[in-house]
Amino acid sequence: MSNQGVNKGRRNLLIGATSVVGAVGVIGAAVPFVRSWAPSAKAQSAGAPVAYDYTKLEVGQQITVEWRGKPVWVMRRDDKMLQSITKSEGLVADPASEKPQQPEYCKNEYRSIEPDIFVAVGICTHLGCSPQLFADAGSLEGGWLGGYYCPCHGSKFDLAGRVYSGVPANANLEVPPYTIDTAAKMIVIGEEGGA
Amino acid sequence: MKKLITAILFLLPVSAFAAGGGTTYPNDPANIDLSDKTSLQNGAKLYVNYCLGCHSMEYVRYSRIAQDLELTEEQTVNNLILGDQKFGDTMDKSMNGDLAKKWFGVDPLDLSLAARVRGEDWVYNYLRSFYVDPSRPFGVNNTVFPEVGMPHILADLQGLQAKSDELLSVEEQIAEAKAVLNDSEASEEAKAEAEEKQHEAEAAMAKLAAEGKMFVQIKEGQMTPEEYDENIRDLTAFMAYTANPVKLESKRMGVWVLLFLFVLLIFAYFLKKEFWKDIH
Amino acid sequence: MFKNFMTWLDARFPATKVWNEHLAEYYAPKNFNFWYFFGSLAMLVLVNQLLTGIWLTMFYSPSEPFASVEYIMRDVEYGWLIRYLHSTGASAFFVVVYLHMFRGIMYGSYKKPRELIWIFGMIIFVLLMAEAFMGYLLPWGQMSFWGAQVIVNLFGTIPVVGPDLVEWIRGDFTLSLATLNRFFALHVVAVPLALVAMVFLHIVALHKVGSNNPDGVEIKEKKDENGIPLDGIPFHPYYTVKDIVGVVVFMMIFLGVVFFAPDFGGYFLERPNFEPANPLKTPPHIAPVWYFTPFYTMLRAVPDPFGGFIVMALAIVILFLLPWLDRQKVKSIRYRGASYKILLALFVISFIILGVLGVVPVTDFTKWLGRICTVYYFFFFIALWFLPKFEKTKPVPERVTDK
Repeated sequence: MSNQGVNKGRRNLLIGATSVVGAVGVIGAAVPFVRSWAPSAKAQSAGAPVAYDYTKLEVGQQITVEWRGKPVWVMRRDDKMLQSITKSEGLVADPASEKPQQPEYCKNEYRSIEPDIFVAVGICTHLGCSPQLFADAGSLEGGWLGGYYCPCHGSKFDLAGRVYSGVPANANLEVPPYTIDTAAKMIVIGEEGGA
Repeated sequence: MKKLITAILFLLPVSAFAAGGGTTYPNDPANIDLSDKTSLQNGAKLYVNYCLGCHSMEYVRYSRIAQDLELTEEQTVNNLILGDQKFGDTMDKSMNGDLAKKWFGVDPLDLSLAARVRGEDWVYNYLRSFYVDPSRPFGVNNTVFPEVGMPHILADLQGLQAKSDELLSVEEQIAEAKAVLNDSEASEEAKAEAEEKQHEAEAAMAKLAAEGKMFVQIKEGQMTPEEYDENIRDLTAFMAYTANPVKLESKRMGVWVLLFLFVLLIFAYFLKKEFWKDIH
Repeated sequence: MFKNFMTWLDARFPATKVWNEHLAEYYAPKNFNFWYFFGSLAMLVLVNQLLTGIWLTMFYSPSEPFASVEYIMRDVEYGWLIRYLHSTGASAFFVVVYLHMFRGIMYGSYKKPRELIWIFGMIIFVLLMAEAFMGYLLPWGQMSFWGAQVIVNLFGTIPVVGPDLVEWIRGDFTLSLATLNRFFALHVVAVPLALVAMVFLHIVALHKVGSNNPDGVEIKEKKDENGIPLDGIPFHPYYTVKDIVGVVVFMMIFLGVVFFAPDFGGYFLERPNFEPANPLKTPPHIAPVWYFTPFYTMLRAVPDPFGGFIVMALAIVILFLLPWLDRQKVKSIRYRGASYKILLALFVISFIILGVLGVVPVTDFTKWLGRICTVYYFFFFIALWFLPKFEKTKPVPERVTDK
């Protein structure tokens, strides 16, 4: 063993080159292991869009549909309810829905495609409880305009899912992507596209 | 280097895996082509129309078929999904298992992996070898799967066939030879003679199968025999695909992986050489 | 910066010390040949099995075993690749371990002072067999079921306690999901822990006494003025760069199998195992996976099942005793007599025949051939004891002969 006549430059070049190619190999080998954690075909199938026939829903009524394991509310709001949303304008934290809690086509006053049909993920944006509906004015407390109340930490939302100022939650309820198929009278939750 | 080659040879199998049981006839090669999407699509359609009634493929999703066979969601829903199943569902049979048990005595097998259990050639030959046999409950029997408990579901397409006279006489010879061989009182001489006869008859059987003379058509079907074989090939290809849906993808990836390793090998080899210059 | 960190670390943890003792200043003989790749390759395969195994447990479910394996194969992204890496890895493990053991026998690497390395290695081999056997039940196919059925029932041949013992192992009156569940726990937690611990001890013992080499010369007996063996070279970088070449070549073969022939013609994944376990229907041919076949043939060579069981167990036990059975002082086959070379060559041939016989259908001829090979297997070890009396060895050189 002798270290005389060693071409250090050549040696370092070979170490570098082999390391780089080897590192590429290690990254490549990691790909299957990382990708395997993505939702499987089974999970994706279970998370496929859910269609709901909204003619079954009476005006003023709300039902819960399960989509990707989450409660999704579908509600037919009457005129009184829509007016209450206008009234709560000054009380909510993000009246113009600036935070990206809804698809672009629902960034409007009523946070919906059709004013009367409201679709939202029924999970409080504070810590994930499911808020309860107190639809009628005064049903929760004096001066209540109608909306949602989260029993866990007292967050309040109006009937467009907009969060009130000064409560633990600080974002509006999430509106999932959905389409309304007017021909079939179906709401398809999970499918992008608007009306 | 010589030692390395010896070691690689050591890793190769000593012989092909011993095939189970005796050979059944016909034993034509299926010659499927997994990269032929049209063939697979036709096979899928045949499977859905003729097999899925009784035989589920509980591990196979329509969405996956669509992706691998290059079908759109709409095409899949319109052509392959017959019941009220969804695009992402697995292929359930339309028949109720308990009812099937009452009718057929068994709940028909799930066929997701059938081609991997039996082999492609077996599936191909089995589906072409139903023949008329009035002694069986469904009026048909099968040379590849004797005493089969399944009706000939593709009879509309194939028509009906019966064993040819040649086949019957060869089978008779085999049966006679076997009777002698199993007879404890037969002399050694007679047994040797019977054994020879049996070999001859089996060779004759193989010849009949190779020439396609095992059966005679007794009732025309919607397809000519050639068309029928072609369609069964497609069906077999589809079943081979469902049994191992990643076969093509795996080979494609394998090529790139090996090419990469080859590059790495070159670098690693010169690195080793460089360092080992030190050692005298 | 790095130097400061290392000073800080070395005051608290022997990082540099371990690096030097086991890599940079661990002096290995400079004449390692092809056969010396298999130790590091076994390590590589172990890592592959641990990693892919951990990933498989993320998707496998012992309550619906067959369906969850198909879930891995079809629904999980790249699940098929992870599973094939694991199933091919099992076979690869035995390939490299058998070759590694053969190397040890050929160059007398179990002889004084390396007896304990051999014992630890044998324990690893036994653990590996247990690991492979229990892992093979998990896909819950026909071969899984009937293979396990046969092996578990072997314990039933033990007089008096047999039947109760079998019931206790199964946890049921037949092989069932209760059995599978305990095999699952042992396969993914208990045995791997023991394996990793034994591999650690195997290497600690090796580095204490130093590696043997193809000449069977103790390099520590000839040192230079600095106390470094004259024929030793630092493991790192010389053997790390050499092993990288071996690793890449091995991976080309291994991944070639994984991507192009994961079934390996029915040897690595057997056909009937794509059919769910059916306790009412035995497949026409049950053959164990190839790496068990030599021992399986020995089992079948004895007409009495319990006798077969004993013979099979003895075939493993006798390997443990090898360091004491082989009384020849000369280590390497290079300097041993022709008699030894013939004995060993026949041993390898008979072991391979035993393996092949395990997968072919039984006939009178194979039965007798199996018996002859079984007898020879044991004869080999007994012959080693008496061999030094007749053997004409060659003089062993003072220093290693080649690089």
